[in-house]
Amino acid sequence: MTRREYNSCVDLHADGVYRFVLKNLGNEEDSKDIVQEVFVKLWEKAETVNFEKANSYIFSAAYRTMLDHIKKHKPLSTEVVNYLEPNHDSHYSDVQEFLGVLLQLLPEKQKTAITLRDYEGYSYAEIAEIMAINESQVKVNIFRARKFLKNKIKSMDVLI
Amino acid sequence: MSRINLNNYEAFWLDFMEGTLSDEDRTEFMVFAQEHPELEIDLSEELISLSDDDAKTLSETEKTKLKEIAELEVLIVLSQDGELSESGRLKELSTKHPGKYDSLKSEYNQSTLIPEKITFPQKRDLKQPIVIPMYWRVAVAATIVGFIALVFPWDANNPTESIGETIEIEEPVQPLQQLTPNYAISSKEFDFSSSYSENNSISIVGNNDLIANSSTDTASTILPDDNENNDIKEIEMNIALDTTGLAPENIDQIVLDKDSISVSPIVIDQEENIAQEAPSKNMTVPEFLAEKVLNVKKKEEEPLLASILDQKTNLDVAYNETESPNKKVTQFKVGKFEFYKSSKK
Repeated sequence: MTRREYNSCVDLHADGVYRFVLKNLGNEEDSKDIVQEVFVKLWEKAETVNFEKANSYIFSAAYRTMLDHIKKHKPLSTEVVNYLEPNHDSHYSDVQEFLGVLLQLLPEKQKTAITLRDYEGYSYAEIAEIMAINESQVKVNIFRARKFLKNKIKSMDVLI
Repeated sequence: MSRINLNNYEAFWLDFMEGTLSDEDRTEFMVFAQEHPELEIDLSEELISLSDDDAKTLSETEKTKLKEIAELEVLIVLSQDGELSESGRLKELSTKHPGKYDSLKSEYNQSTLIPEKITFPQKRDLKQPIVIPMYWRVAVAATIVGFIALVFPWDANNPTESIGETIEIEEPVQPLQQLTPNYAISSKEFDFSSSYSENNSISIVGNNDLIANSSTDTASTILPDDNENNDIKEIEMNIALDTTGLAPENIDQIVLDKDSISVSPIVIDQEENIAQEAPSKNMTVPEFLAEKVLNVKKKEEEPLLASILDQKTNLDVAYNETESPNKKVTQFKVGKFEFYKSSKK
């Protein structure tokens, strides 16, 4: 990958990968750090990474870096989960806002799979490649995530 | 012999998760999964399953209906994600359970996340600066030079002619323009010979042919006597003189007085009235200039005068003396004119 191609990658994927990480972590500063780390890695590997495959490389690196980050930091405590758990006192202007909150309650794999599918538009096969799992597992994770979201929306339907 | 192996187990895995395997295949797949723990097949990942309570209390018809609805759910999600390879089963089930199909479709539509526009703020920091290689810079510079050479060609075979042409166009005009309208010419007699011995001769030679060729007025010039005799050769030559501001009688005198010497070109940038004054008969031209321009008395020696003139005026002044056994030649150059004085020892 040439310097010019690398810069094109920044233009094409920086926003997407930032959104992907931000939606999964929910923290702007940590997300920015991860995106920067990802592109530093990409530049270091520029000679071996093909421009056409850079997209997949960027999101794979982002996913791995994000998992490392999550391991280093404490997962959400029960109190935080309970705080995030929507209740009848919560008010949301639309379904998407509510979904954004619900997303943080999903297990990591489900969250990653569904954000890659819905926000970034990747196919199940591409998601499998990025997450280094097989396609069936992607299918399971996405289905379970959707079922969870559907059931939550159904239960909170009156509030929205 | 088992039909499930490492090459086709994924197809059976999918059918297992969707609950579409026959009882025989389902059992066979579970055995295969136990025999191959390295594949990490999670048998609890079956998507369509009935709770134990359902299985115990429901009739076979109700169990079948629940299984079909669960399968319909999976197919709706796959259809929404564009991952459904075969839509026949979905059509069959949606026709069989139309009410459930519509409500499930609507609910799953709602659960789809809509991408929002988020921009990474430090995108510019991530980019690598583009460095233009040196050979590209050289190539671009060469191209520009080549382009200029093509657009503005010059005759490389005859550069002097080209330069000469330029001068020929510009020079005849400029000297006349430089002369101010009020510039005056001394036409009065200036007899060098009287201030020296009879063997002496003084000459003034215009050294710019272009000026001479472009003149409109005439002045006489005295050349040095190289043959060491007292004969003074008079050669008429043209000198550029602007007579715009000159009185008619002065112009006449220029023409009539063959011995008159024009010193005015030397004092063009000096005071106007200097040239109008006549040098006395006891003065050489450098002495006259020194006295009128610089207010230096003529008693000063000529080399010193040359030095003063050179420093205090914008004229190009040079002084040189050449001695031979029987004569001394003095060369005095002021601006475009040279003065020679030759005297026998």
